Amino acid sequence: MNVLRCICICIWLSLYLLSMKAARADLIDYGFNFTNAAAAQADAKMLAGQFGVANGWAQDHVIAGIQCWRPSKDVGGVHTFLPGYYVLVSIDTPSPVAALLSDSALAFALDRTARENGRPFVVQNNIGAIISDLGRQPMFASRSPYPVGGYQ
Amino acid sequence: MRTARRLFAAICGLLALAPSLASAFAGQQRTVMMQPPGWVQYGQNVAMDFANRRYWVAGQGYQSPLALTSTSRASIKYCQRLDGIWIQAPSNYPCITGNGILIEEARTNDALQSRDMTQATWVKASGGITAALNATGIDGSANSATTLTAAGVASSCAANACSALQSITLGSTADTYSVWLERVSGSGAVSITINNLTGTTACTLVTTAFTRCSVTATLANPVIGIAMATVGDVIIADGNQMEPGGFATSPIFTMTTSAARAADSVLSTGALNLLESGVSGSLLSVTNSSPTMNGVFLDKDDSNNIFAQISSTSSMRMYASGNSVTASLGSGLFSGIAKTNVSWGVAGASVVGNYGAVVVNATSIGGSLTFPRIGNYQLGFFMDAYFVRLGGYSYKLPDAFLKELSK
Repeated sequence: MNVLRCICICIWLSLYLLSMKAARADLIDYGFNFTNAAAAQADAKMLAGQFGVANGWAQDHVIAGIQCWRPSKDVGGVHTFLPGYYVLVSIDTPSPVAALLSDSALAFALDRTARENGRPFVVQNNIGAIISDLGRQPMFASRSPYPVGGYQ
Repeated sequence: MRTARRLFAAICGLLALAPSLASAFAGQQRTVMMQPPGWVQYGQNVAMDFANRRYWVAGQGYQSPLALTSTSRASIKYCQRLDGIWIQAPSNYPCITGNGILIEEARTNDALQSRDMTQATWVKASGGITAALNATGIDGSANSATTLTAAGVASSCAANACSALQSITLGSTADTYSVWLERVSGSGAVSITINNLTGTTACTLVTTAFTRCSVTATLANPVIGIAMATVGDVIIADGNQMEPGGFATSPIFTMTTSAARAADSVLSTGALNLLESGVSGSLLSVTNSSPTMNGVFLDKDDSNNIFAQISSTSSMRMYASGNSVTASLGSGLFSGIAKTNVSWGVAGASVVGNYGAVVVNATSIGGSLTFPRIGNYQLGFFMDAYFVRLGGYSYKLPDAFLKELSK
């Protein structure tokens, strides 16, 4: 009886651990390019309102106003920042958020967890080859920064 | 033969006893699980001892901290162990050590190559200081921190010859530059600057551990760095951090670009959420080292209903249905250990800290509670400190008892 109970517990534990592992979602960084801060706020509110909070951006998963530049255009190590207002949104959902991927302001979506685990990490690239010549800062501190563009 | 028979009998006896022993043990386990362990104060429904990593719920026994809180943070972060080592927590996981759970606002480190001062972004004046990436850093990693040797110019560190500086392009704001320093040899003065050595801040270094040195100023385009006063002195530097903000926060390591640590959004979930949602209840909290004003450390997620928010270095405010009262700590400051207790019921709410006077709010705490938070209010007013313990009762404790428990 006890042996049977032991086996049941082991099976349950294995299933539980498997389900826990399956439930862990990848953290995906969505990079947006807006005309200005007001346009970004307006669009963010449209997109399910999950970026903004009463007093600004949801700072647990949004960096607003990041700087972007083309490392190939640097002169003496000095960047020329690209015009526009850039926002980075990082969310861990079981699958990439379709509403974000289809947003017209989306520049790229990169799977940070995949990058950290050595898997292909470009989820969506709307800026073509420029993505390999695009410096961005700041990015969220991570275990394994992206090896694309001017970012580390 | 007789010995073998005795051995066989003994084994059979043990096997026969095994089920009853197992049952007895299982029964004991059940009892232990249902009764509060010794560290839980009598009557508590929820007890979270972050510093000792034990979390308990009445009727459910020991829990994972993830069953009682939900952390959202889109970056890694570091928090410090009791032995001084900084450890890393993955994205969306709470950072918990023997100091407690560290809950902070978002910050960006604009200092590049924060650990590797051999890089060209750190300008060594006239070669008066040499750098080598060969020291063990604040996270215990080998060859991650920089050894700086004051080489001098013409055998002298005069005119700030023994300095390493970095220029940062940034709009005018309150900025804090900080760096962890450890002395290897020598006894000369070591200072840091945020304004290109126009002004310097003296640092106290020891040879046995890292000491964080920091300076805060409001200025544009800070030029940060370290200056040594005596030729031949050797120090270790790690975690250079130039962050917009009025005080230094946990380390954010950088390389070729600035990096951001996302804010900690810590929501109460499960039994803790249920308790805080109750018409009446009590919460006991222990916090440590809050450098901030207005930090909310117990939130009901409604601007009119906040259990406790720091209002000065030694007082806190409670909002109940829009009506606020302020209570003073009986002793000490929020920058040290603060034991703040609150209770609420239909007749009103009470707040007390560090055995001070209990202040009663005649208005009851209400509001439509959805996601009560720990350490911040709707991603604003962060505690920026370690939460050491949190305990909850499903009823309003008498004021005298509430005060006694804040001792």
